[in-house]
Amino acid sequence: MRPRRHKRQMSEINVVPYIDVMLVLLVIFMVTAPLLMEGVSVELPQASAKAVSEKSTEPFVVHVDKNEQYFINDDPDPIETLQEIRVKADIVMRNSPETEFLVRADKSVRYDAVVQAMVLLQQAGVPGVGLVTDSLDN
Amino acid sequence: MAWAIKEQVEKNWSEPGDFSGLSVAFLVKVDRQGNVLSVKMTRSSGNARLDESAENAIFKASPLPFPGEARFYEYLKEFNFVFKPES
Amino acid sequence: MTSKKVTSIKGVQYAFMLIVVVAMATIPPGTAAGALTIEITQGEKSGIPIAAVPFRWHGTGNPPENLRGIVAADLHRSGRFELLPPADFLSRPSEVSEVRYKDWRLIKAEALVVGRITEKGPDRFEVSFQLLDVYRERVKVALRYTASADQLRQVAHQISDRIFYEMTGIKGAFDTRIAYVAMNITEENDRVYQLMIADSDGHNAQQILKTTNLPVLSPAWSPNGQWLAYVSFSDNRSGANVWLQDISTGSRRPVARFDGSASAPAWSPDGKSLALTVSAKGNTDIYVLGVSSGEMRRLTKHPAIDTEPAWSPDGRYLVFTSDRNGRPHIYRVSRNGGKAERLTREGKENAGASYDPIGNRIVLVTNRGQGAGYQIGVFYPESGRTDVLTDGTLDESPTFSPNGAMILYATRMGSEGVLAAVSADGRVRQVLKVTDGDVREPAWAASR
Repeated sequence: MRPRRHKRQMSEINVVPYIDVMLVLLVIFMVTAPLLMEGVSVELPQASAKAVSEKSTEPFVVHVDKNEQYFINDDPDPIETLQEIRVKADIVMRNSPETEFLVRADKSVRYDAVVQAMVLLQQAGVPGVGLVTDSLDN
Repeated sequence: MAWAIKEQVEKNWSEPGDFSGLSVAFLVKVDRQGNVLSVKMTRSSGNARLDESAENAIFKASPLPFPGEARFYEYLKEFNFVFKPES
Repeated sequence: MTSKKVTSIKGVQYAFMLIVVVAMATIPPGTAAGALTIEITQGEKSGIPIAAVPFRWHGTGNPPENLRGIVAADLHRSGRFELLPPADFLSRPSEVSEVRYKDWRLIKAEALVVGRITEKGPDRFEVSFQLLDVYRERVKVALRYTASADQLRQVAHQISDRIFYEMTGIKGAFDTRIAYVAMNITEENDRVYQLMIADSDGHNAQQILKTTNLPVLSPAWSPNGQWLAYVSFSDNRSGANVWLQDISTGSRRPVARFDGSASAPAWSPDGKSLALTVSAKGNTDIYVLGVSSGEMRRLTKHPAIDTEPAWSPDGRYLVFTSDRNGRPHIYRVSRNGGKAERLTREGKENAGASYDPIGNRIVLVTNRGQGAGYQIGVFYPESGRTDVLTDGTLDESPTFSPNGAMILYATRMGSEGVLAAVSADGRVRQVLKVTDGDVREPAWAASR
């Protein structure tokens, strides 16, 4: 008799706490799933990231060296006429208007020479020119 | 917002031919100004010409049109781009 | 009771871990689920932005050819490229070592072509070129050629072919030849007909046949590019006949002797047969002639006019123009004959059909009615749709390029006939520079 009664008691499962548990689980799942997904994406390799970032945010740079020679971007040769700055800035403005325009001058360069570059950029319709000074120039 | 980004990338994408039926996916990270920081191909279309032209489009579209408000950045710093050419 | 509770909590933990595992497994690898996904379905159809820098000349005097100009014209004509204006180039490199890729990204070029021509000796030039990937900063193609001055145009077309293939995956067809008929009226009011062959851009034209007051019509290239079949008249009394001419030797012969007249030759893809239109005893039908055997086989038998046959690339079918239902339309028949099936139903009239090299498009002359005149259309047999590519009023004789990317056709400019090329999507149309008089009936060779 007693074992049988005991068995019967076991089979009568109260489902209410299970529903509670399932609801809690559901909430936990809903809250954690997006977090988990965010977590996974962080694991991505970053190897190529640097090169790309350089490519997609390349500024147009006018360099002014100690001898007040002007260079555009990575060109190792100085420009021949000052108008080249305006012409090339105009080309870049037309083709990629979102480009950042910078003047990067040696610290010993006269204020005048820098202003001249900025004026030429403005003549090309550049809305804002950034100024970079090389305080640690060799 | 998503529409503006979509439009900007589409404007910069020169389809090298009819590749309808293929698709290529990228994970793109951007900074607060919308500059593209990294582009990672998460699924190749199997056709290098389509893959490269799509990647070019993302580079060329940078910086992407972004809302000024800083609070959006957390949601928008990463995108999936799926290129699915239709004929 | 207590022990039961513990197990149930363990169960919860287990279930939770299971959910975690399932959740992680369902995230597609590499994609940030939860992040925004933007789908890009439509790109620009304006062509791939490409910068071709003028080739640097190392030699005395002026360079014998403007290679950059030839390459740029080829690429532009194909409709697949947008050539960036040289005035916008921030630098002018001639070799990969001189290239600063940033200069090209700033003007949004995706590909860059640089090259040089070096004078190596009397009438001996070395041409080198590189195709560069601007965003990945790598060399896609680097080639060098040695040529005499009169081969330089061909070198330029070969360069175009390489670039076209590398960028689109389709074999280029710039280094190919075309044939056409030019007619001039002399001061004595004689009509002089010339059968010409030229490069695919219309340059380097050479005359291979000249007749006076006896028209030359319908040139057709043999698949190997050695023979031209065309229609000519021996004298004013007898009818037209089809002739075969060897391009390299210039020797020619009529394909067959028969009563009536033969016209509109079309080579089978294996080069062994010619489909012809034969008019005899008041009826015009399609026949197939064995080129070496001379055997004639009648393919269509209808009291209406059946003409302008063309083969499908697999050689199993021929399309032709027939007015058996009133207006001319395109029909298709098996190479073994049998019942012809009508293909075109759109438009008032359709004529002059031929297949693309794959066999899923047919180029034709279409008249949409309401006085619209005749334009070039591409017909899709599977859907029955026709895309009209041109907007002339008398455009005719369309012929696909051997790679199916372009169509050459004859059109009118003022009172003169000229040749024009249109990209297969209809986006870019250009008149070819041919100055031989009234020009018509172009045919594009399958091989050089």
